[in-house]
Amino acid sequence: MKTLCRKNLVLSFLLALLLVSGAVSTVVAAPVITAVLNTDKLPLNQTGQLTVTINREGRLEKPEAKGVHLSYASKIENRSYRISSIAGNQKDISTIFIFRVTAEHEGKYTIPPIRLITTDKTYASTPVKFEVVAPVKTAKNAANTGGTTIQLPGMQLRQGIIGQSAPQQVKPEKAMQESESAFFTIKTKQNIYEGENIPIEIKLCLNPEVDFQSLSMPQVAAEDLAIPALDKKGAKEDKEEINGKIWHTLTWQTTLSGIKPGKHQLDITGQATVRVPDSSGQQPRSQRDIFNATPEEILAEMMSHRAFGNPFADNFTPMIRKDLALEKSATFTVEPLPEEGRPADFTGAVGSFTLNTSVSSHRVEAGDPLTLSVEVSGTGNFKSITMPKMAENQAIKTYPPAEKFTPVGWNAGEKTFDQGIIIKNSSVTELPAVSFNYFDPQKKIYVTKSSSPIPLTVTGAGYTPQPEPQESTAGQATAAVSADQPLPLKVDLGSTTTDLRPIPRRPWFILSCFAALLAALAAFILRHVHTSQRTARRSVQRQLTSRLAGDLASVDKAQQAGDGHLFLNTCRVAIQNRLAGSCGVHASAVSSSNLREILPKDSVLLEVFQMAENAAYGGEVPTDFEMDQLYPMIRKALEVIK
Amino acid sequence: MNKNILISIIFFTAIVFQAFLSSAATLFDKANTNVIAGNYSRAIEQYNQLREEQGSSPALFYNLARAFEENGQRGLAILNYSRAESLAPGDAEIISALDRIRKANGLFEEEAQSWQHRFTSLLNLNHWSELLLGALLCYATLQLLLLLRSVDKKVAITISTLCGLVVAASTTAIALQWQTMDAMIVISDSAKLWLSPIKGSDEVQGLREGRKVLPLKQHGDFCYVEDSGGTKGWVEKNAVVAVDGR
Repeated sequence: MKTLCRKNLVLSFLLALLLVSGAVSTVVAAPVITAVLNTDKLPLNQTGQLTVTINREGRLEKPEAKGVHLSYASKIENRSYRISSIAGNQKDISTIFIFRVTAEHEGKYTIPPIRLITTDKTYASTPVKFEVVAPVKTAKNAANTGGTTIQLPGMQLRQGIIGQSAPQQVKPEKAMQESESAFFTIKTKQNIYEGENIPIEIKLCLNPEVDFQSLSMPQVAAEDLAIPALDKKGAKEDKEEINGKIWHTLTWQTTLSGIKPGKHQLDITGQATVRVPDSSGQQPRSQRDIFNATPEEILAEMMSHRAFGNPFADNFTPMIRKDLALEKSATFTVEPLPEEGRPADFTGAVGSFTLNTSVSSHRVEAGDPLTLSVEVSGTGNFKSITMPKMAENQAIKTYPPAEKFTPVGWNAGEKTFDQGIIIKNSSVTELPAVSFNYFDPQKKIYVTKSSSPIPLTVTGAGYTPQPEPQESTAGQATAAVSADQPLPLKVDLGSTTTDLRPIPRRPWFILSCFAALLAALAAFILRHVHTSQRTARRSVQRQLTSRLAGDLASVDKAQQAGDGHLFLNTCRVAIQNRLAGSCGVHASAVSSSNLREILPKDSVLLEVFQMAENAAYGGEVPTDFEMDQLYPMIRKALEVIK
Repeated sequence: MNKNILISIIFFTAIVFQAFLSSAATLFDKANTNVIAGNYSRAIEQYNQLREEQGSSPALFYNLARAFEENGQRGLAILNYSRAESLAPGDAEIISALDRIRKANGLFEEEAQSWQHRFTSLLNLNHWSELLLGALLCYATLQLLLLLRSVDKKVAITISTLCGLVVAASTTAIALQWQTMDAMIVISDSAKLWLSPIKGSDEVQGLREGRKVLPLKQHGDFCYVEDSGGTKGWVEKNAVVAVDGR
């Protein structure tokens, strides 16, 4: 009982330590860049794997080391969520770059620090030291065979401390044969023609009962056979029943073609790392004294999902890692293409194709460009398909085509050629047919596909490749030359500028437009104000003239009536109305003192106004003769006033 | 005394300026001679030196384009012909050379289909701009003239109406051609349009050297462009150069 308590106490302490270390790891950032070589002793005839892991976005400088050849193999981007008890969920972004390492001579080597350049800082890994030793004979299950070991995304089948997968039964090592853990299958036809593209299916079958720690990307090797490298993107993951047993499968569907006639072998290799129970004779952990084990050993056990499911379990089975080498070969017989019936312009296309043509316009002016689109679709080796040839015509000028390939499905596709064409004169009535040849491996014959001629309506006199007439300017070399020939060089440098921007982007243009608009607007407003004022003045003038006419009519009437009092009174009113504006007072308020300020002393108006004021207080009134004399003078004086 | 100093300064400045112009002309002549002699690389160096020291001119761009063309660098040749055309829009030699090199390399521009495009392509952007400025200046002059003296009303209305029409037409044309001001030329013979702005992404299609593209947006070392056929994609920035030298 006492021992059990002590054991639980120690385990609790270790668990707490684990949690604290996890928390600390969220605070203390992991190294931004690490570089690890999969072995410290690399046999000369084998390839090592350098894994560079970066935890920040940036530019990675390619590692280089003297005497060592480093070649880039692949890149894996990892984006996962980490559960942290302190900071909550955190997103981890890490990228793994895999490099193959080979050396030419035995000896000790050092790969210098690899630099990662980010936007704000440059990070460097620690140097990697290793030794290249004498070549060894390759053993199937030898550890560190130098293959690329990559954990495929989604293939961490029974791994991870957070994984809640059920404990599994791991088979004893003795029974653990490669074929029972994992194997490759190849499905394709094996008799092919030279240049023929055939579909091939490569399948990696994985035993779901095996605890796979890591799995390498399968490598394909073949001489005189063309097959694209397999990548993680192209793999389809599935489950399949094979011989009454369910297997995890990774399937790559790709194409293979024979380059040279003969028998050629295709080799597919891969590596896997599995965890198997240790059968080296060690006792299970529970049977040993757990307090004699090192903390690392106990933590390693706790990290295992088998133990983590029950941290206080007694049955700690010791586990070891084991590397498995997987391989599969297939032999292909590549037959040469038959000489018989081979067209002279055969370019090597093998498969089954159809041909379609179209033109951008059926009506064109001589000299204007047209685009002829030729579409070749079907299955086969599209790389060997070139622009189908058109029958020669002196009146048609063709240009190198632009080509575009669109894959359709697995082994099919569509290749389009857009060719520029110029019809030189109106004698052309159709675009000649285009044709191309291919070898049909099913029918074992050469096939020639031809399109129909495309009718055209060509207008215009013809293609005249002359430049436009130019005015001869001083200092410029000018000459009438063919448009197919370059024109002479210019000999006068002319005025220079450092501003290449188009006119609308130049400040002077924007300022000029703004200034012109402003000037026009200002002038328009000023003109409008002036016009308004002039109109107002004219209106006042019209009113005054009208009033004067009325007043003068009254004066005339009084004169006709011979009424001196009325004559003087109407004269006074007329003078007041006429001069009120000049005096700046209301008409009825105009007095003789106001008039003296604005009229000359001998003015008849002043005299008559004075007479009118005197007459109001009993003064003399003018006689008929005087009125006859005064009226024209008053009229003239009033009309003169503006 | 002061008068003599002023005369000396003016005289000295004139001599220096004359020497400056003379050295530029000499370098230009040397570069031209190298083109004729077939030393295209040397000529290109000299033209570029002249550009850095004196600035650019239509003639300089034209001859530089010729040197690139003879040197087999058709992308850079088309770029410099385009720059020459932007500085001297009406130059028949430049237009003819640009047309010739494009045709020779199968770089046909798509024909304008809509009436807007047909209308705006009657003149180039610089011509439309000059027309706009001319119309605005004409209208401003008319307004100032009307302010100072009387002008026949019919004449004033006719001129104002014409100016208004020209301003409306040129403003519309500039607005429709605004995007073409950012035009870029593909200078790499291996340029491609990519689906995403990352290395190793899927290829949309190849871009022919000398092809004109319009930039739409940028991301890192990539530029999202549209070619004359309407195809859009990402192209590496170092594969294209803006005509206006941005």
